Amino acid sequence: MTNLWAIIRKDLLEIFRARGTYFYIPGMFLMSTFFFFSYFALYGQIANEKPDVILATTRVFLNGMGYMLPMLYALFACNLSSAGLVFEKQKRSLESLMATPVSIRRIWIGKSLSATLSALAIAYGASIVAYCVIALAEVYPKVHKAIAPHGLAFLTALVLVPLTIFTISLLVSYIQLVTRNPRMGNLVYGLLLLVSWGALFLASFYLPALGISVDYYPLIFVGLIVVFGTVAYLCSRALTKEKVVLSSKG
Amino acid sequence: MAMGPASASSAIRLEGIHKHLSGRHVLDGVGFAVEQGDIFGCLGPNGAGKTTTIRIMLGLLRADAGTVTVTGRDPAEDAARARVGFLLEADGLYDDLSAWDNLDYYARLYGVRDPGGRIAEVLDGAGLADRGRDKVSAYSKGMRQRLAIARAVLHSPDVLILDEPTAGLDPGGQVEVRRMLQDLRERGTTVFLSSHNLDEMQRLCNRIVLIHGGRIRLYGDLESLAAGSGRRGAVIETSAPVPDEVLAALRQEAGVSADRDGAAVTVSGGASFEVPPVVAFLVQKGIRIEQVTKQQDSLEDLYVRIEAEARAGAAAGGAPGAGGRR
Repeated sequence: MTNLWAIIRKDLLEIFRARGTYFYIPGMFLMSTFFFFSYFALYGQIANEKPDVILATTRVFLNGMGYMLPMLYALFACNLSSAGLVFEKQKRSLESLMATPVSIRRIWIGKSLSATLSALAIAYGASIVAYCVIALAEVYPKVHKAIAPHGLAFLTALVLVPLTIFTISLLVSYIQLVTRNPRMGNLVYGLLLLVSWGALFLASFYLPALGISVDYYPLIFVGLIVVFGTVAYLCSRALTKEKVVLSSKG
Repeated sequence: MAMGPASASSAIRLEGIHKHLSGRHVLDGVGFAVEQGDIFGCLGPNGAGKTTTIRIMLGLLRADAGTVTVTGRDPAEDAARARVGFLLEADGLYDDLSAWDNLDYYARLYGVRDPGGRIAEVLDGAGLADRGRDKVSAYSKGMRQRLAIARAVLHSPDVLILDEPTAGLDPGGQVEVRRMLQDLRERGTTVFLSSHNLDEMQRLCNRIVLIHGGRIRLYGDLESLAAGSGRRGAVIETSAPVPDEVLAALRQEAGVSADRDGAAVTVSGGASFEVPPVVAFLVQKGIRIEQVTKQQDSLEDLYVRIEAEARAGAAAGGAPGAGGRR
């Protein structure tokens, strides 16, 4: 485990020391402001309602935020795992890393985990800011009650979303490890995100129409984790250092 | 091709290695042994199979056939690679990290005890103690190379595999790297060195292997290879030009080739050539000898000749050129 953490530690160090990260993070924050705008648009309609209505509506919104906001940052994780590996292959530092006493699976998992963790750190930061603005600054002064998302939203945000992001990162990293063409990896993560977001989007329309509560949303994440995780497991069986070396230039 | 003599305790041992890449037979029965404490040189032109051999020794590629052991284990095992230090063609350093962070990363990967103390020690050894906190992107090529070697020795490996460690360095940098390698040899580290720099190989290595076209063309102890290469001789400086009849007699009776150049005679012969009988012959003929300089094939002479033979062999239908020299 020591060398797995060494990989994660080094990658996190690199990510948060790279200037590019600090251009990317504000961009992601900017993208997540649509949550605020949609909430405040809704709040404008319910501001004069009874406190119970405001609380119930806000809670549904916060639940949705727990599901959706961290997933937005999956994009960041995929970009990191993709760009990081492409760069390491170009610089041939990956070849040096593979010559150390670390298995290729550990390298793969370590790199995917570091991308996931950095994306989650930023996602949770954004979520906490969003919660403070919505629940504490806006709603609390009005209703004088603290409001928290549903337990399932917490479970999703803290367990299921990280696992989903991790499995997506694993698949993106795998493709970047074994393919000569970095665009292939970008295409894969674009497709995976499209599938994930598509599943969530369709569910947000059809589950309520079928009379299924939003509380069942975690099942969508479980489904994604099972599918992506199974594919990642099958990929791990085929991953060898030789494949990585031969897909690198030089 | 059969393996040369090797002890069970060989630091690196390759036997009958075959490797195909992209439909090309890159290694064709390569086998050699690197003994503990050797500085072992691997020579060959570009595309000869040196890098593939190194990658196999580091467990990055698997041989299609044959066996490889490094420190007595399969290099695919983590435990084998834990005892090996390396410097590949690309230094593999992280530009955005400081030298210290680069070393700290590898110290953690290798599980080095007291990483802080050891990092300070190797940085000092590489002459980078005062630049340890600088980003590697600010380093010169020579500094990078010294840092990469420091990284390779960080975990005090038993075996060091270095691919072109002095490539791209200025003469001062080359001397510095050679000094580091000689220090390592004195400490008993086995070094496998791949280089195009024949002069450097001759200075540093006690044994060599020459690979050409995926086959071994020359393998063994450097001194005996040069001595047994069939080209030995001497330049004998005399007080006056040697007369033609003496020269002819020397050729005929001593069975050597002899050429006169002013007041000097260059004599050469086969593997059994000895200087004293030639000198005695000339003295007997009344020639006054001023100075005798023994000549032996340099590694460069050997390399050039064997490479030419290998090319000629390949042109004649892919027969192994000087493969039989092993």
